[in-house]
Amino acid sequence: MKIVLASSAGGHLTELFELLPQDLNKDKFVIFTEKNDRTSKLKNKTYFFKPLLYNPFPYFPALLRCIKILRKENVNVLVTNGAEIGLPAIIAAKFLGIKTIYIDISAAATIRTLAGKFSYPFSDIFLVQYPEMARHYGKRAKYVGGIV
Amino acid sequence: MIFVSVGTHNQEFERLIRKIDNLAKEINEEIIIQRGHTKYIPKNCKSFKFDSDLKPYMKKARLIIAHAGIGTTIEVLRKLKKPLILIPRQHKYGEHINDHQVGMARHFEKKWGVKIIYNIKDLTSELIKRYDRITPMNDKKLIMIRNYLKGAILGEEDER
Repeated sequence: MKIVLASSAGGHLTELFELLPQDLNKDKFVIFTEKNDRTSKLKNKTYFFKPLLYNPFPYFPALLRCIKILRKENVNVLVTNGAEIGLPAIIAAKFLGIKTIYIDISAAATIRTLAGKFSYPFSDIFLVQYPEMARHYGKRAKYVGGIV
Repeated sequence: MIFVSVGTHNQEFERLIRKIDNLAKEINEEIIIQRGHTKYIPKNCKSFKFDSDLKPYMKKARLIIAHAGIGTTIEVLRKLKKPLILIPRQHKYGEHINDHQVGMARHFEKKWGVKIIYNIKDLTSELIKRYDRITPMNDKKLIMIRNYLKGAILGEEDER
């Protein structure tokens, strides 16, 4: 079972680690993120991507690179909570028929996230962390608990 | 000791730091502020910009006053179980890129009974001196989502 976590390098990645079942071997997860002081020290196999921010153009090379890596790594499941490389990664995984799980960030208690909006069509499982947030995205969005 | 923390977000939170600095004159307890990207430097209490680990300060503190960041809140309410007052960063004051901290603060208030200050005027020296309520946060919801994710990842329960 090979699992990829795709997330921006700050609080998003911290939260993703916190949300995942603690009895899975965390060190085996493959990470897609940006390089910083913390992510460069991760024990995990990590692929670094340049920051994408809100500029649409770097998304295409990032998407192609995601497809290439996901193929090579023979990935079974992709988990993302959005931001940065999350969107290209979930599109690439969906395209390759890899199971995709999107988890909306816990900061989104009242406000819909852009990452969630764009990732929704590419998700097999779409989770929000507050019961009231499900209606902001679509019928498949569900609440099964959250970090707080 | 009272520990005040505004996290690592790259916008200022002068509204809180200045207020604490003013109140420090009326409070006889040591106050330490982690001021982050706020340029204003408190005159009436100790402060520092960042530290690689804030836990030792939180462990030592009697009361923690902080921005409504998720990391701080979990650390204080779930792990340390100490009194906490949260002041959400607000977009209209240039303290964050949107009002998600206000949204989270409302959730913490409603769900866990956390003390939230929306208007900085409501943060008084009286409140700080006497505040000792502990509103622990359990991890039921966290265990729920972890169990669900385990099933989803291992392909045991796609639909529920």
